[in-house]
Amino acid sequence: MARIDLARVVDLATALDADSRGDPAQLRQRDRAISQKLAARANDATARVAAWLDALRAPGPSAGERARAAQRVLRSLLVALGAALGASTAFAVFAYDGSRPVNVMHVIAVFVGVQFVLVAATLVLSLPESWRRRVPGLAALQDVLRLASPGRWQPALRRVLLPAQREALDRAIGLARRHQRLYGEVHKWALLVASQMFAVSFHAAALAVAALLVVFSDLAFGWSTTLTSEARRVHHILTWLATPWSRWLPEAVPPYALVEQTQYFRGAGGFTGAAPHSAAWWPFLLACMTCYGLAPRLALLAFASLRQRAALQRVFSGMPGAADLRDRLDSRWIATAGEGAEPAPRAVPARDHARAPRPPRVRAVRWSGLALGDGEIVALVRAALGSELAGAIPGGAGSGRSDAALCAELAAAGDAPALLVKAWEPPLGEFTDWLSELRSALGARTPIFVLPVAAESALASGSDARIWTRALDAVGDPFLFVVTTDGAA
Amino acid sequence: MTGVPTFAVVGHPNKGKSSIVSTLAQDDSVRIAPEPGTTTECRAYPMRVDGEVQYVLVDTPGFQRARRALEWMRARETHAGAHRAVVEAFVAEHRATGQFRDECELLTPVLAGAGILYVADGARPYGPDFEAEMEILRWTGQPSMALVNPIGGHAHVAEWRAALSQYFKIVRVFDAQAASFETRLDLLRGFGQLAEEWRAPLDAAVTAIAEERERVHARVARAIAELLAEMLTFVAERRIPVGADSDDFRESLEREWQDALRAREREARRAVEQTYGHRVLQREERPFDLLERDLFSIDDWFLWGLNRRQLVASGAAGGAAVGGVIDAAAHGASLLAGALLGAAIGGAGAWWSSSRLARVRMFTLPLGGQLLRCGPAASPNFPYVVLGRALYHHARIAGRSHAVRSPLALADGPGENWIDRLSAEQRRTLDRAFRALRRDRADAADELARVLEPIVAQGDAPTGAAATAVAHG
Repeated sequence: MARIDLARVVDLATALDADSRGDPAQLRQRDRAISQKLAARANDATARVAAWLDALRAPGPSAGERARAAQRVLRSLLVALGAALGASTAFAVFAYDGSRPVNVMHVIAVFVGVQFVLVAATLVLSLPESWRRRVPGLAALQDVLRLASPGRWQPALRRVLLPAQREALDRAIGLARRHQRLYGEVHKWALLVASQMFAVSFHAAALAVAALLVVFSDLAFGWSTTLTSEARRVHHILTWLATPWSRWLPEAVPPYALVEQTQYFRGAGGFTGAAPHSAAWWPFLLACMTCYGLAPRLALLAFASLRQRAALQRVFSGMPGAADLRDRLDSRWIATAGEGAEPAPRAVPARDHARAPRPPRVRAVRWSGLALGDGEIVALVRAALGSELAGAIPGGAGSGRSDAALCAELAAAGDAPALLVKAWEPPLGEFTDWLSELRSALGARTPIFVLPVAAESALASGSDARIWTRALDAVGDPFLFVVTTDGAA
Repeated sequence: MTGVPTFAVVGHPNKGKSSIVSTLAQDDSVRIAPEPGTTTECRAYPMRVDGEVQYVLVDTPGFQRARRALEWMRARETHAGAHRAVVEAFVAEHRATGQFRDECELLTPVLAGAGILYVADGARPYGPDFEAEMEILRWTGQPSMALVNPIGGHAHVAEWRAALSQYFKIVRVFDAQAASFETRLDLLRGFGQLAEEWRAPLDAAVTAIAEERERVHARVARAIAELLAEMLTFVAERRIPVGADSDDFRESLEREWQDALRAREREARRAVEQTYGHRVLQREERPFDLLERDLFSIDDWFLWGLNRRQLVASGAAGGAAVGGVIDAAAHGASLLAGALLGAAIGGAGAWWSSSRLARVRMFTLPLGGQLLRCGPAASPNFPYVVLGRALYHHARIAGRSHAVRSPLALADGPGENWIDRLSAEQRRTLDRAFRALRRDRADAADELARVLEPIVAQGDAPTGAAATAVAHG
């Protein structure tokens, strides 16, 4: 399975976000083409998506890589801070100027006691999200603990980032906020990883400083506490603390004599100089710091890193659009749409038909076999134009020669022609060609009337009327009038 | 005939050629207009599977001068065996002159080997003026089929069938605007009958389209599941200063919460429309359109979601389950009182919370200040309402032909309650999936998508009448 890190997640989220605004058909085509070239196995969906990301990759660092670089910078700063704090703490706790020994109790309190509390807090923070609703008060406790988590200091450090890194990181944070349900786990574990890195560097630095002080300076150890003065009781507790390494590192278990000899009291006459073997405390103290400080943090870091990786893996396969992407990669691309774009329609300027003449007589032509009786034609012509019918002749159903003869006949008759056409059939090129011939035969100013007739022998209206009017407007003849019930001729 | 099966959709202008192409190619970018001559050039619609062309539909301009063209051809006719050569000579002679531009354009793919799909309008009367164009097509000698597309009704379908059967071996009625998905596939399979060598590629193409439809159902199910996941868990938050009266912010936060959910619902609808290839779909936003009625119009909720009886039954079942656990813990000593009491409490709770939208709550922040939070949606009916609306919208989109250019009007109600059509098992699975979504479980949306897939497929069941085929030997 491909390894998924923050960079991969951010890059995939960015790519899918851009795709969500794309044309699904084009995306399908693109991704299927990429898929057919992918070397990754078909049954490893994560690897295929990762390979798809690589195929889409543009030159230069990606947004995800910038976000990862920003995260590394911030985590490095946290590590440096942790190391500085750890070293300072060790210097303070192991400070010895000869006036008073290094108090073993201080070392145990800082590097064991406090760590127990902090590790417990970390464990509370890492409890599953669903427990927040089930355990009363857990949500509030986690919210408060999160405020103290070093991982939360990262936003304050972002000023040190390059602008491009800052932008990439902000984008990643924006994504997490937008899809809280999905990214909640990643956010939680990323925070814990950062905190554990801080803690590991703290303990590692403290341990290193303590070791250096042991090697390069003469430290004297003693113990002093208000709680008890019984050396046996303290020895019992220390032996219990040393249990984890007592079998294979017996010299790191303080003997009772050492405990008894190195007890001291403050005040006049309390500390009279280092006990003869007080330096023998150091193996025990370094072992304590390693076992109770560094080791748990290393374990928590490993655990949080594993959980973070698992959460990133889940986000990678579950983010919005990821399932659609897998679908695009793994299913055949089916395309049925047309090639190229439709040519733009020709714009026809609308004409004003209101000022049409009203000739006293017209000669009707029944075009293309329109079945109308003479009586119906008379009534139609009278209703449409207020004209008398000079005669009715058929046309548009025979040969080109007969159409030409019809033009000559109409020109010779001298009456304005009224062309009765089937309204339900659109005007064809054949008809407009013949209109041009008729215009040539009649002369430029003789009105020609076109009367689209509906199936029930009435003048056309509605869409049929509009079709005829618009189509014949395109002819551009100012003395050609389409007569319908929608607009007077 | 070799190469990819190609079909030229030809006929008189304005008889629905482009509608048929638009429907079969599932492409709503095809220009369909009442004006004649809208199509001026041939446009190819190749059907590709992984880039490999399976068949090609060609939309062509209508015949404009068929009578004159046939007159020209008849003047050069010698014998029936030379008819095709005469048509080829016609195209060769007139291609450059532009005198028979439309005829040359539409005959070119036919002469190149395309099958002929001659389209007539069954709502308009047949006339002898169509015979010239049918005769020209017959002269080409190409395999052919006639499609009666009843654009505005079936008044003249019988008349057309009788006339078309004189010229074409196969005559089918195909309503491009109302054809169901199965009817479209059936017609495509029919194209394979035109020539023996076209049958296998057409069958393969139909199989690929049918498989793709199943994947479309899965995509839609995912889109709806994602929608539900977001709508059931969405909360709107606003920080308010210490001491400020939360009532001043409550109303605007509620409005913000509702607006965000409305926007998300619209986004999901667009995704579903695009999944079905409706890219330029317009929506008629009329107040009486059901889906345009507000998502939060609670009076309409029983139309989309669970009715009161179902709500109470759902609540009672949940309560009884909890009570049953107590009975089991008591080893039956409670005499099922736990289950009965649980059912009563669950049922009553579901009744009373049925119209509750979302709670607005105030939280005190650890470092000072207050947070006002609205949501998530509290009503047990809300997921059913969202799902009911989404499924209704899906059914309208799935059944909508790509040839329909009118805005999507959703005035008709969903009719019978969609929940009644679910099996008891589907209801239980849905209830479980909604509970998982409310608990914000990471894989809940995927699980819901799996549950929804068959329900979505049910919404795409064939509704249109199957195309009628009349074969003439």
